[in-house]
Order: sequence, then C-alpha cells, then structure tokens
Amino acid sequence: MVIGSVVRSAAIASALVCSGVICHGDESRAAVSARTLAGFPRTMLWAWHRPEDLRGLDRQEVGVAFLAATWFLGPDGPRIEPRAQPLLVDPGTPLMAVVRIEAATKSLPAYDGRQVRSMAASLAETVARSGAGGLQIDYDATSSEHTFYRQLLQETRIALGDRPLSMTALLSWCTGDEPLLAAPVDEVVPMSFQLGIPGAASLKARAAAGELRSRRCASAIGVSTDEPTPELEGDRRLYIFSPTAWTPAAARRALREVSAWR
Amino acid sequence: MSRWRVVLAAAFVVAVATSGDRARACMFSDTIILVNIVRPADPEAFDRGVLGVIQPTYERRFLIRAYRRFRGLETVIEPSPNVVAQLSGVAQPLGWLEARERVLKTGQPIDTWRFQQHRPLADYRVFENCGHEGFQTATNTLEARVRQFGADSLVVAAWLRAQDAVFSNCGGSGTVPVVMPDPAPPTADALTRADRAYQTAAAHFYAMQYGEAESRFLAIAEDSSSPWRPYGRYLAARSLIRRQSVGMPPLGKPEGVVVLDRADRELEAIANDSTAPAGLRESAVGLRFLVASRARSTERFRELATLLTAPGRIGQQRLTDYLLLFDSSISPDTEYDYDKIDSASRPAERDDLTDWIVALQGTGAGARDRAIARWSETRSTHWLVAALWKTAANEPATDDLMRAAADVTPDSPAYMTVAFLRARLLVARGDRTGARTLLASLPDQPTATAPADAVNLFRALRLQAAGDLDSWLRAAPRFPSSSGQSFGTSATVEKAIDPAFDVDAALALTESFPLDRLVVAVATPILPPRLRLIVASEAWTRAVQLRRDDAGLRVAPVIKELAPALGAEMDRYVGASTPEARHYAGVLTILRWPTFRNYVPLAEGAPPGFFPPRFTAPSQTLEMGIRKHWWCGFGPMRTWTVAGPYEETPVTRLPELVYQAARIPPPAVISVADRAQATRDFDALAALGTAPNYLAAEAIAWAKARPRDMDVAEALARAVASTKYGCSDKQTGAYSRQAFTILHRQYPATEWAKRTKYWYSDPF
Repeated sequence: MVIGSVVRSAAIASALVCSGVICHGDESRAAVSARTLAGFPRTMLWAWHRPEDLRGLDRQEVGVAFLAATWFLGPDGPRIEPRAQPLLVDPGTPLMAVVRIEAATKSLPAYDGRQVRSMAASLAETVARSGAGGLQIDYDATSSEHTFYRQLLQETRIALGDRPLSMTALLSWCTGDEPLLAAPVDEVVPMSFQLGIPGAASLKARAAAGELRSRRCASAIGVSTDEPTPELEGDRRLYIFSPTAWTPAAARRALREVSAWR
Repeated sequence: MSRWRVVLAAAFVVAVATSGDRARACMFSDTIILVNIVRPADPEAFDRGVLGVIQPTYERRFLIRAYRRFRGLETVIEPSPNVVAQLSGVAQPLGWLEARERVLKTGQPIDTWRFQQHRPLADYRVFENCGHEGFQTATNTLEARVRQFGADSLVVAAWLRAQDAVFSNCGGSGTVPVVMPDPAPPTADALTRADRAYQTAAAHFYAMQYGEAESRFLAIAEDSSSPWRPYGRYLAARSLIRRQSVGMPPLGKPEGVVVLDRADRELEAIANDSTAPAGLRESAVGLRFLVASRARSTERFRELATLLTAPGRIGQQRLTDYLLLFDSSISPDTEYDYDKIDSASRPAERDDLTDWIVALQGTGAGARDRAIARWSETRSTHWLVAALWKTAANEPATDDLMRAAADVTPDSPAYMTVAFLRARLLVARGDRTGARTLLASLPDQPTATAPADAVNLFRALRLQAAGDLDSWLRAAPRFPSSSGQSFGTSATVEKAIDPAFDVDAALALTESFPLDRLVVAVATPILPPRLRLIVASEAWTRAVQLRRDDAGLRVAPVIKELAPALGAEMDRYVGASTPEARHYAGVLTILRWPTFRNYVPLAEGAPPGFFPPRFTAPSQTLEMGIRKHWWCGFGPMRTWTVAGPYEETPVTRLPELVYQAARIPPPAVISVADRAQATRDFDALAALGTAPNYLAAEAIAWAKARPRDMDVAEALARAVASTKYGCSDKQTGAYSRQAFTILHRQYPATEWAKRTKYWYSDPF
C-alpha cells in the first residue's frame, strides 16, 4: 500500500530528524551555546517588575534573570518602559537582563531593516548599561510576527557579540518544528506555566520529561512557584518565576524544592 | 521521485501539518469576568453614585469615592495642571527632536524611542532624568533664538551644540563623563552668556551633580539681567529634591529632611512671589506637596486624608499622593494581614478614612475586631459595611449587625452592599427562606442603577439559596460586566454580551447534576437559549457516551428546536432502528460537530473567543489554532482541586465572595441520591477518556460490528481527524493509527479514505 509505506517511511524519517541524526548542524550550535552560557548557573530566578530582594544566594548555584525593560511595539518603534523597581542582589551574582516585548497594536507595523537593526542595537545597549552578562528576550510572538522576530533575533545576535542570547518560547513552538527556533540564539526556554490551553497538565509533564519534539527546547525550562511542576529530566537550566515578590526566604524555599526535583 | 525523496517529502508534510496549529496554540482572548474584584465594571457610573456592591479588594481610589458617598459627598477629581499642559502640548522629546531637525536639516529619520531619557540608579533600576518640561523649555528657547537670530546664525548653532551637550547627560551611567557645554566666548552678548550659564547649570543637574546645579541656579536667580532669573530658585529647589530622591550617595533620613526643608523654603518663596510666572507658582505649590510627603510623611498622610474627606473637589495630585503614601506606609496590596502591618501609626491614631480602608482590606481577627469596634462606637454606614464584610455567621456581634443592616434603606448608597452581605449571612446561618425573601426585593437584571456585578452577586446567592430546580436555573445565567486575562488587566465590556455561566453553575452542571436532572433542566425554557443549548449538548453527549437512549431521546428534540442546523442529525438519532444504530448515529454526530462537549466550561472568552473559546452556535469547523474541540480527559485539576475536564481558567473569586470557602459545595436542590448518581456518571465518563480516544475507539468498534454501514468510512476518517484537532494524550496515536488502517484496508475506494492521507502520532 503506497500511502501506508509513505507514512511508515515518514515516521522513520521523523524519528531520524528528531533523534538528531540529520540535524548535525544543531550539534555545533549547541556546543557554541554551551560555552557562551557557561557563566550562568543551572538555576535562574526571574525577577520581575516589582521590588525584588534576592540577596544571600549561592552565586555558584543560582543566578537572576531580571526584567530590565518592557517594549511595546508601535508604529514608530518600541515604547520602552525601563525597570523602575529596585533589585537587590549580592555583588557577583550572575545576571541576565530580560526584555519583554509586546505588540502595542493588533497588527505589527512593518519595520524596515534599519529599524530592526536599531532595535537590536538598543537591546545590546540595555545589556551593557545594566551590567548583565547576557540577554533574554521574552516575546510571545504570534504567527504573523514570527518573521519580524526572526530578523530581530538575527540582528541582536550580531549586536551582542560574545554575550549570550536566550529566548523564552511557548510550549506550542516546541512541540513541532517551529522555524522561529532556528534563529541563532544560545538558549530556548520553554515556558511551562500559565498555559491556559487544553491538555496543559499533560503538556507540562511532557515538557518536564524532555519529550518536546524540538531539540532546541531541551536545554532549559521555565516554571512558576505557584504551579505544581513535575520532576525534571535531564540536565537543563531551570528558570523559576514567582507570582509574588521574591524575598531571600522565598528563594530558599524554591531552591530547596528544586534540589528535591533534581 | 526516488524512494528517499518521497520519504523526506512526506516527512516534511507531516511536520508542517502538525506544527502549524502549535504556532497559534496560545492565542489568548480575554476571559469574560462576571464579578470584578478590583474595580467596578463601570467606573463612570460609580462616580455618579451607582456603587453596586463595594468589595474590600477594590483599588483604593474607588474605596475613597465610596467612603465619600457613604458620608454624603460626591467626588469630583480635578486634573493636575502639569498633566493638562503635557496632554495638550506636543509630545516630547519628539517636539524637541523635530525642532532641532528643522534647524540642522540632517535628513536623518527621527527615532524618538532611541533618545535616552532614563539614567541608571543603583539596584538595577532607572529613573526618568529628562522630562517633558525640560524638552519643552528647550524647544521654546530654540524657536525663540531662531526667530531672533535666524536658523543659520552662529548664535543658534552654538546654542544648539550646547543644548545637545546638556541632553547627552540624560542617559548614561556614573562611568560616563559629564558632558558640559562649551563656555560662551568672552565676546558673547549678554543673552548668549545667560543662556550658557543656564545650560551649564542644567548639564550639572542632568549629570546628577545636584550640589553644583543648586549653586549655579541660585546664582542665576541673583542675576537681574538674565532672562532665566525667575527659574533660578525653582530649579535650585528641584536640584535639592533630586538630591534627596535619587542622589548618590543616598541621604539618610535626617539629612534628607534637612535638604527637603531647604527646598521647601525656596518653593514657598516662589509660591508667594506675585512677580513670578503663574505656571511657575503653580508648579512650586505642587512641589511643596511632594516635599511635604517625603519630609513629613506621617503628618502629610493625615493632612491628605483630611483633604480627601472634605466637601468640594479633590485635586488629582492629592489623591495620587495619598495613595502613594498608603502604599509605602501601610501596604501596596489590597489584601494583607491586618495584624502584621508594619505601620508607624496604630489604629486609634489613624484618621477615619485610613482606619476604615485598612480594616476593610485587612484580613484576620484584628481587622474584624477593629471594624466591629468602630461600628459600635460610630454606628456609621461605612463602618457597618466593613463590619459586615468581616463578620462570620455566628459571632457575638452578628445579630446586632444584622439588625442594623435591615435598617439601611434602598436610597442609601450602601444599600446594595449591605443587602448582599445580609443575604450572605442569612444563607450562612441556614436561613434560606429569609435569604430568598430579601433577595426577591433586590434587582435581578442590570439597570442604570443596578450594575451587572451586583446583580451577578445577588444571583449567586439566589443560586445558593434556591429551593427548587426552576429557581436555581433562573439564577444560573450571569451578565458579563468586564473582560480580561486577569482582574488587573480587565476592562468594561463595551457591547452587551449574552449571559454566561459563572463557576458555581458550571461546576454544578458538570459534577453535581446526574444525567436525568440535566434532562429535566433543559426540558423547560428557563435558561436563555444559548445556555440551554450548552447544557442540552452536554446532556445529549453524555447520553450517547453512557448509552442512555432514554435520556438522549428526550434531549434530542430540545437540541433540534434550539439549533435547527442539527435538525437532521437529531432526526437520524431519534429515527435509528436499534440502540446500537442509535449509538453510532450519536457518535457520528459528535464527530461531525466538534462543539459537542460532555461538560460545561468554567469560563468563556469574550468575543471573538480564541481561548478560552466561546460557544455561539454549533459548528463543524475544525480550527488549527486552538485545541478547543470536544473534551479532554477528566483528571485532577490544580486550581479547583476536583477531578474535572476543565482546561480553561476562570477569572473569578466567587467561592470566597459568596460561599466564603475555597470550594463551592454541591447545590442543595440536588438530592444526596442524585449527587451519588452524578458521581457515578462522572466516573464512567472519566473512564472513557479524552474525546479523540473515545471517538476513535467507537468508530473502530463500529467498523468491526457493522462494517457495511454506509457511514462507517466517514466515522473512521473523522476519528483520525479528531486525533489531530482534539485533545490528545499518549494513547491517541495508537487510536489514530488503528482507525487509519481500518479505513484504508476496509474502505480504500471511498472518498473518505482518499481524503485521509495521514494518521497522527502522539504530537508530543
């Protein structure tokens, strides 16, 4: 049966793709990424736009990814809201600057190459001004925004030079072969919380078990302290969000739980 | 095409086909909110006195308005003069950049957003260093110099170079050198020298060298020949304020107060100087309030509370300052442990407004005791409201509070709040008859004087107190008042949206109603048509799954009446010759119409309703974007701590507001025996699993049992499709493959086989 054969063969081909036999390109990119992210611990706490106290952390074990700015993409470019709330950390704490991007209008304006390069330069400046060691972009781009986002990631990669570039990802991007994840980023962090979609519980379980189809999503994962999270598989970087402001005590509690998972 | 090319092409097609929907899988729309806990659904009506049911979790700006209404005062807020000026003028720094470009004519595009206005502070935050006023002053000055000297003059060119140097200090960090404008040449005229002196002082200001800025501005204030003289003392005061707020190193409290006191003396002199420009005097008055808030926050807090509770208009800045001081001295949250507030003031020392808000929003015995004590002392309406919110059904003061609540008349602005709380206490005490009597006197539909939120709360209590099924059904529909992905981001619905179920009715209809009671519930047209169809669809789907033809036959005519598009399907189901044929007819209908569900969703989306979805009418469309078709497995859900199929998360606090519990109990109108049957129904449905698995299993069984039936091929094909579009799990792939295989093996020549080119493995 021709169609059946095609399907069987397609299944084999998919398995080969998924096992990385064909995607040797990913291996070299993964190796480079591991080097540039070497300065970041396996556990990162997300510090959001509120006063956060993350002093007293073991700097070898825990770093902080803090919201440095929120961008609202409008017709003339981004309206930028920089961080106005204090973040207390001990000197030497590994820091990653996070820039959250949202669309201010229903359909994204058509930015030209100059504008995209300008945005990339601004993102790199944000990292430099903040003193952080790397940049993470948090952007729940819709399908129609993916082309722009890919361009922005490419230009930002250039603008950052040696500093690592991380991006958050919707779990839905990780369950297929989302072209966006082929962008030259050093890390993809699937966000395994506040999903609000059907099958969320099983999807989270699979994400934690490393069963997301895209291998680009295998090196990290994002969770929230107010959602039950299955045990983690594999050696991946864990990002933790807290719906309430961090305190040293809350951080210690979260890290104790992480130790139990690992 | 070679064998391997065919293989790879097929793999690509499979990957694309299964990944497309993932990319759009998280397109959220807003969720319908039926009772908003942070703000009234219609703030404008609220300002006119339509208070509805005041909730402790309301943003404090609304509680202040409510307090005033309870005391017989309206609330009219006057906007700040500076805000008015900013809103009516040109946006900055765009205005400045455009004025600059008109002179320089570089031809470069103006990217306003790239202009660095914020300067870093310690602790990884920034502050707005260069603001609207500074850019507006620069724009006005440039235009004036152009008019006087000409755009191409050396004077203007030098002035512009100097101003660029000033503004280059707006961003940057402590490691960036201060950029000073070039000094004026010795031969410069008086105006140029005065401009340069002002620009140099401004450069120090923006470079955070506030001591140097202050002394230079004071020198300008002494220069009778300078056009900037009127601004000298004002900007010297601004330098002092900046020193206290963002200066490095930070000042301790005593030093900070000294600096602010100096600023206040300068500002007082300006405010009292009749020769100073009017705008400057107004700014000085406003800044004095700011200085007072920082230097003497406790006294200022009390002063502001007095101003906010006095008759007459309220200045927006005073309201803002009060709210900021409340946040910093009491709590930034709207719910907090009353006994753990680390405040400089004790309850007895607080002004009445603050004391009331703190008790109303505080949790725990301390808040309750304070509210009851203050009510006992004052017998005031606002303290009655606070005490009623805090008290439980059988506390010593409750009888007294209930008697006082009964005396509040409908013309009182607190009436709806008090009536709601009184009815809630009656239900909590087991007096459902008393509650029903009271609720019967309250609005049951939204009107100009009865907001939807309040009506929904009354209906929730009516649901709880209902004595029979008909009353329960009448209380189940609620009126959408706002929408959002959270309370904090919610907005009033602009166009009326059809009534929806809140979590109390949805939970009951899914978990507490056995199939027979669902059938009774839809037999009469008590529910509005859309909601009646949702429940009828749930009942009929369950009837098919549980093979309860008796129930399915009773519901089918209801569905046919409410959804004529399903008429042929229901006729086929009803007219089936055997129970087996009827069952498979039902399965095929569910496969054809993916809007059939076996539960009632806890929440719906606001139109257009991507996710959570919104049921508008039966549909056959299978959408790639969101997995919202049919149902998922019945399993434990974290939020609602019950086993259920719910995947949507409602934006609601109804259990706490109405039931004062974490979980909503089963409705009293459902007997214990019926609840037990509901549990058996639920367990049976849970065992059947997620929709694609169930539907595929049924289609496979149908093909085996009745292979010659004309609709089997279609059922198999649609079952395969359901494994792609429906809610899948680890078993789904096996069902998909089996249905696909049987379809192609037993019905290869059918159009359905030709259309079904792939089966779908577990997508994860």
